[in-house]
Amino acid sequence: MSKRLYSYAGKILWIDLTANVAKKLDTNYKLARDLIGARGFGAKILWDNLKPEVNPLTPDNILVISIGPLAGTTAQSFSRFFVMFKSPLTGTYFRSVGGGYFGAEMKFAGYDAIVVSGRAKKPTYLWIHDNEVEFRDASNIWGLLTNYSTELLLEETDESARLITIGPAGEKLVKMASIQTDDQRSAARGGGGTVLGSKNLKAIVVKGTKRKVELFDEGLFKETVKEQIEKYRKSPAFENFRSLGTNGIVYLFYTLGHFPTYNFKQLELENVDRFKPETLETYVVKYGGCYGCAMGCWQFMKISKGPFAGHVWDKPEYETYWSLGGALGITNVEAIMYANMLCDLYGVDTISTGSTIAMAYELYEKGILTKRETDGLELNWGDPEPLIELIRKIALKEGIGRILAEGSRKAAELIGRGAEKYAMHIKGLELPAYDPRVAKAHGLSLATSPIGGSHELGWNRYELLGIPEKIDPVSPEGKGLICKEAQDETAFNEAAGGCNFPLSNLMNYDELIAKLLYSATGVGEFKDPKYLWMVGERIFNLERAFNVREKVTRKDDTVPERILVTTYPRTPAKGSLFELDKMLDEYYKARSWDIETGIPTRKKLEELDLKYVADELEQLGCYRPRNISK
Amino acid sequence: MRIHVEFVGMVAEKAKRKCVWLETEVNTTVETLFFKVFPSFLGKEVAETLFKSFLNREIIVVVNGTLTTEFTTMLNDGDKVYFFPMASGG
Repeated sequence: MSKRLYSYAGKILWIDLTANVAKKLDTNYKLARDLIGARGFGAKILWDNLKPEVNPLTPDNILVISIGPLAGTTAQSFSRFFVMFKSPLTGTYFRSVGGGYFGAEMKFAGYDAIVVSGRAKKPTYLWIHDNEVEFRDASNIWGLLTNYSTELLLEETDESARLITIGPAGEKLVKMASIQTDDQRSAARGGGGTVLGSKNLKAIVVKGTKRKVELFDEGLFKETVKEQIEKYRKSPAFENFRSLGTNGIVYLFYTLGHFPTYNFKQLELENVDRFKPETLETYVVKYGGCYGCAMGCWQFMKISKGPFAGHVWDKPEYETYWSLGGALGITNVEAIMYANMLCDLYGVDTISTGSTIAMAYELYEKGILTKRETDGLELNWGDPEPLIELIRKIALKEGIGRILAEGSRKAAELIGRGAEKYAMHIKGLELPAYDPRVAKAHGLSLATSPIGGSHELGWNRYELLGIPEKIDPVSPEGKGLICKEAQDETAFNEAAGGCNFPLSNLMNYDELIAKLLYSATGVGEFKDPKYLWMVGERIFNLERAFNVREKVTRKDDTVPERILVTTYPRTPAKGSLFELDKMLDEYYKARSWDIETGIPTRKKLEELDLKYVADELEQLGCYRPRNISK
Repeated sequence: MRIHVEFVGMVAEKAKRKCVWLETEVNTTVETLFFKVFPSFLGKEVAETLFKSFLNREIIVVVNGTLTTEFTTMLNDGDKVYFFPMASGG
């Protein structure tokens, strides 16, 4: 396999923090051809290098930061960085993703991936400038909020460098700690920041000078990017995304019944008018966007009144209006903006943090948590003051924050007294702002996602917005296949390093991605969109196999009890339950997985050229006897 | 019968209205709204622009919390009809 790879950076950087060693290995042609890059690389590197049942917070855990082959090119919306690791929150495979400029800078410095293992003896940061890799003392920035650490790191290195950093929460091993970038974006979910904290790694600063990416067929590539930009401009969602990003869907999704409130107790919210786009846009003072993205969906908002007035920060996303707002009965937009900023500064995921706090509010309402246990805070629905105090307590592990910092699943276990019923998570990851009962394929994707309760790995445009055509979101019929397709499509898009927003609007689609990948890399297989779909399925199966190795089976593909036993209260799904078992049967069938266990069959894995995975699962005794002979 | 119509975000800018209760005949559909009802209070030109936007999927129509892509969706007394600009993600 000595064929030339164009457009890839060409190297994978292996960092051993225990030994203070940096090793550069060539990006292998077979790896690139079989898994494209980004999420695909992460899944494969974790499978090959992590032993089952490794404690995520030990030096043995590995964290992979990787980009796709289109990063740093003019291809639109393909310069994201992906972070894969074993999650301390879920105990499963995890993939987190961030935007901004860090991904492109990795490419310019010459790396398709950075693989971090071991644990540094003292607080450390990595300063990577082209071929040079320095392990630097981070003692002076340890403990700092992300904005201060960013400022100091850029001063110490290069003002034009790009970086990722953790905040105090990651250092203190708060389970939902995020990874922040220098431009207020984050790879927030799953505790990537916690893993970096456990490795004593405060930050990675990157600067590259190889800013011209060599393409296989420059003419075809340019033509395809032109086609892509035209498609963007013609898309009905383009201008709306540019002007408000995901703020444009808060009121829409509330109206459609996707926006659960009061810790999933209900779907109504007083004063929801405050989340209308025409109101939210009044706070916008500045616009921006990720590297190489015409959509540019960043809006910076200024808190214009109240006790938090004056702060300008990247806007809360749709999910955050929910987790730090609707989930707590809060509609005070200024308070939500401030709480969002605090999460970024301390370095915690807004979804998991808000959702865990929402559980605490409900436990307080139910009398399961008392005022004595909440450090004197009165956790009353709609009141943002305890929210703001709890974010700080969680991030610094103070008082009740020490328990809540474990995430909702573990915190509920620690609290006991029936608290588990109110923890809204799947596989330990807090649910996002979607009610599974009103969009069943989407709900099924949450239940079966390899990273737990995430909306990102199979966002279902058919159900949620009727794109390209509407299917009945409430019926459970046929949802197994629709769910699988959305998951596989997302997987190959993310292997290419792509953002899911343009995918959800069909601005990017399989044929276009195939043309971009082929003309950039020269890998012949990428020309065929069907091949990309197969790679998506391969990645999804590899991720599932990782989890099977961690003892995940059908029993774990579920949703919180509240969703399973309570009927949906309003149109369009009034009276509907989440028909989990029926849909799981259909889903496993669509995936050719064992219906009883949810484990990928040997036949399916071999079809996807993953025989080595099937062999290992068999060796570990993951297959029931009847599958062994297949 | 009476129906409640709400224009949201950029659609409200186009319609120059936010919310309105409309008196309509029975058997009103989404299509009738665009062709018979809107011209009378938004003006013919705006009504046509909105209809074109609906056809091009630039506008999302939600009736009582249900996404509606059909012209023929029948409206009933007391219905709430929302017109949103197309957006996505989350």
